[in-house]
Amino acid sequence: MDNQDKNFLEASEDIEIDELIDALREIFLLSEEEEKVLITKPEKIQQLTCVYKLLSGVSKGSGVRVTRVLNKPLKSMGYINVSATNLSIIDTAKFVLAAKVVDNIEVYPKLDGTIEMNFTVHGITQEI
Amino acid sequence: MVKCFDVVSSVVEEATRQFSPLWKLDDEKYTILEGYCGVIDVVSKEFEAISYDVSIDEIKMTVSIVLECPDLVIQKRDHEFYKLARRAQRMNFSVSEDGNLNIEFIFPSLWDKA
Repeated sequence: MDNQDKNFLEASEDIEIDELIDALREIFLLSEEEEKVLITKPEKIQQLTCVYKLLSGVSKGSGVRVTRVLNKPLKSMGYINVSATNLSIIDTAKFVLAAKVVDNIEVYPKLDGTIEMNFTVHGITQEI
Repeated sequence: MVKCFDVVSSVVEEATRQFSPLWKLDDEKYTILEGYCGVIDVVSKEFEAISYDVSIDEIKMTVSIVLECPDLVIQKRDHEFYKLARRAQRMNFSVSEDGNLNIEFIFPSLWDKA
């Protein structure tokens, strides 16, 4: 096997590891919540929508995708995910405004060379 | 790890030499940047930064400071990182050659016409 083939296999394995970790995390977290009855809080959804609009407007670069995810990784959580190969924030004031609306932010590099950025809001549902 | 301003000052000194005599360094802007560097040092310690890279855009004369760190997690709304972000013209995120996170702050030019 030559070096090019080896590099391709290693890159493929890295992507598979990322996907496996994401899947395992979902399974462990969701299994605890299956029995509860929950309602969604409209004000929290509004917060997420606001952050989604802000980040959509200021996130530029290559391979940029901005998505809104509800009820994940737990049913009581939602987040805005920004993924990109190279991410440029062209209006830092709006970025900071979005950051102040949410409960936490994480930015990390993935093994496939992309950036993942998650703006998470907690308590989007309540138990009845 | 070295202090951010130590790296910035050597790059800015060299750039000032190159831009003169048409452009001169604005001391007030330079002092403000020194303040930002102090905040970068605080943030770097928290996020376990690995290195700094400083460069000057020769055309726009903006100052780029790139912080390389494993990742970034912020759980409070008044974090120092946001104070820094607000003062940057632009921020860029990318993956470094070693697979870490690169956070680039682009600050306004320090030079005025002489």
